[in-house]
Amino acid sequence: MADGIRINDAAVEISPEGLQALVNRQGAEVRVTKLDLTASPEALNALLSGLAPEGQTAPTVEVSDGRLQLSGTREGKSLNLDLQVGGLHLEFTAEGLRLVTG
Amino acid sequence: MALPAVQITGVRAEIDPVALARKQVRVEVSAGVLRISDRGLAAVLSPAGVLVDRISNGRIFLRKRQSLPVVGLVDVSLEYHPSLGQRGRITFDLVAFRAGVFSVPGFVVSGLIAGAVRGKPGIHITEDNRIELDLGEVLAEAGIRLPAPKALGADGGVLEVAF
Repeated sequence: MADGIRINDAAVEISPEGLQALVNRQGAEVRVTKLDLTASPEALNALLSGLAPEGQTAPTVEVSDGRLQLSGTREGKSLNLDLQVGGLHLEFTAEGLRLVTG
Repeated sequence: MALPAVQITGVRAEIDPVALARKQVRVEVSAGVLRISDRGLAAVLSPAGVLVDRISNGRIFLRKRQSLPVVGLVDVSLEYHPSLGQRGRITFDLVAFRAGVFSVPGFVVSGLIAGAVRGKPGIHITEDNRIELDLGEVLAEAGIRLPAPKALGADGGVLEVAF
């Protein structure tokens, strides 16, 4: 298996109804209550490569301490995003997703 | 707070990014603790009319109202001992049973529960109606590989399996 995405710690729960559906092969209902995950730059690039539309060059990503750089080209023009923000914190709110730097 | 049907904690695993990019799941679990509560067991068994009395002292206590030859309709109580079996399976041995005041052959009673779970994912029934659960087989269908279980306990309303 290719190295790259490691679950360091996670916890999930399944309700009685969800378990019944799972056992009867009628679907799945899983609640994630804890997640600590690490994705290497190689893994991120493998994902970006797989998600790129056919015939298009996938963007590449570089990650270092406190910094994420995304580079790509589209119609001959280069596109670069340099996030020098230390980190990102993703919150789920009633208004939707909130992504906060720092 | 009451336990859900199934709770899995302390999961450590590797996810294959190349497979994920191809919209496939390939996960290799290296550790985790799976807890199946009496509610969870009941969710699996109740459609077959099997009730879960309790999980305690290393035993699972079940009950089923059943029509048996000669004696008619009786409440059958069953006591199973779960243990780690071969090939990473969890084995459930029928260690005691009671069918009211009637004397009923053990193979008839053990067949009641075996019949209730036969055909469910990961369930294997041996010739002597011993029930074996292969969790690895269940999750392999979803692209998840489990290590062999290391420890098993059954107490306080929970069947616990450590990987």
